[in-house]
Amino acid sequence: MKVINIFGLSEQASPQIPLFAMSVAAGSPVPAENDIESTIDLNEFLVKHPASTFFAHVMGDNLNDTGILDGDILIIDTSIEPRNGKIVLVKLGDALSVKIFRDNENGIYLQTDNESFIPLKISDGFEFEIIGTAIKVIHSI
Amino acid sequence: MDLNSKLLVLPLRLFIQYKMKTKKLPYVKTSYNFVAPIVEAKVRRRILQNSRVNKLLDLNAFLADDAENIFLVRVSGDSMVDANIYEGDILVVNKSEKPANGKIIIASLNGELAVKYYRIINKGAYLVSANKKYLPIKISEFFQFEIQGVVKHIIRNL
Repeated sequence: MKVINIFGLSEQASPQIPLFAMSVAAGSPVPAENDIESTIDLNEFLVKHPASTFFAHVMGDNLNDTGILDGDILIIDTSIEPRNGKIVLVKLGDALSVKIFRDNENGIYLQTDNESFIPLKISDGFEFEIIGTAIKVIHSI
Repeated sequence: MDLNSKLLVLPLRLFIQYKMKTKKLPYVKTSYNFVAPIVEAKVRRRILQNSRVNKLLDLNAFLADDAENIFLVRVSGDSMVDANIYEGDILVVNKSEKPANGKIIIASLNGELAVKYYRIINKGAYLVSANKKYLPIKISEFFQFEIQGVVKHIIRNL
């Protein structure tokens, strides 16, 4: 999965959006004013570390099984160390791409979840840089 | 999705933020060595000098440009998994948008809320799940039925 565009975080003075305490499809009542769990600022709600956060607009379909689809926006946090199974933004040569980070007894791998792709083993002499860990995905309908 | 029209061009601030990204220590320890993240900081700076980082995204403007008509709900259950909506997801819902055939909506049905596809078939309204386990629900006059809004964005923790 490739990165089309990178965006920095803009923090404007912002409206408060209601988050309802009920879950949908859970047999909860119709939302009323007093069901509002909180009103939130989406920047605060979605971004824990503003100074180390940016966005990546991605394209491609080889991470579909992880729920990341063509055209989605990933929230990337550069202060979070990647762990096994996490989605990471990687610089390979000149290109930015999105991979699954694998850290197991065989070493560290960068993997796409389409099995026809061979996992890319991280080893000496191989040029890559892990830029950050994807913490959230936004899919627009 | 016309993303670009909602973005401001303001590159400098971000670069400055990342430039000095090291962990502050309250005092200098001399009893052991530690490796400062110099390489990482260089990497970040190079990325941010890259011409691709020339735009900022405001999540409030992008997700809730019509803030007065937006609310958020958390999803439970598996009835919409084939539409990329999973348990625990946050949905951004617009309550002013007119629900059209095929849209994903939040509906209240006999006092319960559900996220479903809204379908019009032969002038009848149906709530359709995106999971073969669940049958479509035909809306009849015996239901208390109201559409609460149209789902615009799906947000998931990775």
